Amino acid sequence: MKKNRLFFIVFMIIVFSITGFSTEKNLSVSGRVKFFGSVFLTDNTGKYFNHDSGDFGLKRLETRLKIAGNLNDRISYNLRFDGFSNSGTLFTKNSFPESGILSSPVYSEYFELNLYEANIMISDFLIDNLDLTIGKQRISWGTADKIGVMDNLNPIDFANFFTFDPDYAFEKRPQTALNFEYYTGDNSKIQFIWLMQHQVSPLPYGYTLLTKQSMKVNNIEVSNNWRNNIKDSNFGIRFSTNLFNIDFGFSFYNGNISLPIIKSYMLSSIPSAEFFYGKEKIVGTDFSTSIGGASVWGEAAYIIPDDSSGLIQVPVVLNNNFIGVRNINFSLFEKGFFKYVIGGDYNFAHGFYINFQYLHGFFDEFDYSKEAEKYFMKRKGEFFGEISDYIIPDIEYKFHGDDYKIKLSGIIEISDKTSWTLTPQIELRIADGLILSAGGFFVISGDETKTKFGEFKKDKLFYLSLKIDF
Amino acid sequence: MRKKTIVLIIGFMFIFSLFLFSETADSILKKTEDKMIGAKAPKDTEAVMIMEIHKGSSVKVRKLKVWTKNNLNSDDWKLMKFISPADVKNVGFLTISENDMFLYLPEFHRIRRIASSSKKDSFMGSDFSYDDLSSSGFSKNYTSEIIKETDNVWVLKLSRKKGVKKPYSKIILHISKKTELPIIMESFDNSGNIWKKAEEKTKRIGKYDVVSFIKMKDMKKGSWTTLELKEIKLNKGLNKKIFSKRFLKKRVK
Repeated sequence: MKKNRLFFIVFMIIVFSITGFSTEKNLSVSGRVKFFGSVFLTDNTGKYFNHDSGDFGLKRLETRLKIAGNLNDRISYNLRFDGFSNSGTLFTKNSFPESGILSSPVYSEYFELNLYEANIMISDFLIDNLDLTIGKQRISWGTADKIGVMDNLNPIDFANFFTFDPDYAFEKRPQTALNFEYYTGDNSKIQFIWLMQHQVSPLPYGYTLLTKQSMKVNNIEVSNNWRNNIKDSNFGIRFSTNLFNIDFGFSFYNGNISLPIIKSYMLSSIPSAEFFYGKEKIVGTDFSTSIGGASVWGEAAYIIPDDSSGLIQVPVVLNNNFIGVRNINFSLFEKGFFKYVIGGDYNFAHGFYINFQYLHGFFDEFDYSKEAEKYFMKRKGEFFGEISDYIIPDIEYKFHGDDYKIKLSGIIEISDKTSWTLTPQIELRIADGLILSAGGFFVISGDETKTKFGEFKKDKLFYLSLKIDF
Repeated sequence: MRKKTIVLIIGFMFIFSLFLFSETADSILKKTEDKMIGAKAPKDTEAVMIMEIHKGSSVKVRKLKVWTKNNLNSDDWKLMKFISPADVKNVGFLTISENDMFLYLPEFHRIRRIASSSKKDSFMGSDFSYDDLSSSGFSKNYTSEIIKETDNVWVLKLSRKKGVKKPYSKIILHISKKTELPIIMESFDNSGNIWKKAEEKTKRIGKYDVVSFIKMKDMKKGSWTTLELKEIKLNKGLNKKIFSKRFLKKRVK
């Protein structure tokens, strides 16, 4: 029913855009059609993937429809719908693949629709130099390239992270917000953001089952400690300016952690675990400038998680008789901790480009207390683990008027153990707006159990992508 | 007595010629800059720019909206926003000064400062570099001397001043005597080899001569790009707010 309603809305918008609004000269309709297909090159029965060499990883057809327009010089609107489908057929164990009542293949074909963005922007709202954007929007903070520690207003798309589609690497999901931007001078801006929803990162398909299996628990309970009211909303404030050719930013975020954190572990007759979405405050600063022809940037964030306690419940057995349970309570996190990133890029002659970042603290990492490390076995080199360090290099070579691009990116995990991940890519611009790319995801070294990316050592894959923008 | 007179005449002619040529080169360049970016230039310009990139048999067409503001005693401001093709729509390029250039990439919702190492890079796959499109004027960075003069054209040799970080070591500039604007510009690399050649055409709009067409050829690669300004509107009194990061992010109509 929900899906049908969405179809109806999309259909009406398209009809309106073609008929009713077509005379509106400011209306712009654009979009994308994209195919992304990946094939595993290795066998694996691992924690995250189970496949043989030659198995398809993902066969995804993606469409994007963007509608934007201006009501007048001050008011504009922006919509983006994303649709995803898979070339497979949707089988269930209990029935044949049937169609919908109008013979639409809605029940037998994979299809998902997402309202990615929908917002209205009012320039000079109430006073001069104040812009207000209301609605679902992407608000990007910080100066780092790709992975930063300041860009906390939109949750990471953790589901697409596992598709290995480079277009979605470290993608953040837009959120519904009131975004006030006040320009105080040629170079300065004060921004206040009130997020009208709590942030939750989408997790990969099957992640609940995976968590149960890896933790050897029967049940998982997920909770949050927020209330759906104004007082408990997420918000952020940022001041950015330029001094002596250096762009500076100072920001404060008060909101929830967008990823689930383990809170308790019950080792009773029916083992279970509880996860929760905690709250945090982040004080941050960032800069960017150019030194000796290179761009240089940096971000530092001091993260203060709200007081959260962890619990482990262990059965007490005496002479083979269960006599009760013992609760061990402890603080989950250290009081406050830093994450930071520093990086730079440089354009060499003849189309060579190099980009380098040093990162302390991936988006899913926290500084857990000693007790949490002990009881929940939190450590470096795992997802949702302790803070680790990474080098993120990127080398590109463009030629023939930017029509061809060869790119070699990677992530080098340099914590207690080291892992090397390489993501080579070749891109060909066949025509304006039409790009064919091929590449791979290869973890070439790293301990499979003690590094974050080493776990994907047997998940080497090759992908092909074709996209057209119109 | 006669000998003395001859020496005097020769000496006078020598001094006069020195005065004539050095003054002429600088004054010609001043006249040109006055018409390009100075008191005789339009205060501001708004136009649609058609960029055609020719590589071998392929031709790529880009459409941009451009705004420029002529600041008499400081750097000119320029803003360019791509209208088409779709994959670069709303990409924006803002120049506040030669050290303050910004690129807006809507796909990443980010404004990035362009480092000086990138200034010599191709602007969106064209034969123009970021520096070609952001530079305004020559005399700040180059010394000039006149090397040729015909009935219609002055030819100046511009040599890069010491310590200046500009991609071209030398420029041969052909200036029309009629419009006092460049018609041919040959730019040389650090080894003294010709790198690019630009041919320019002007259009009379009201009381102004405006460069309305440039063909830039990369002499090393053999490719060329043309820029044509259409729907040119002059002296509209453009608000300085247009030349800001705020406007750079806005969707172009």
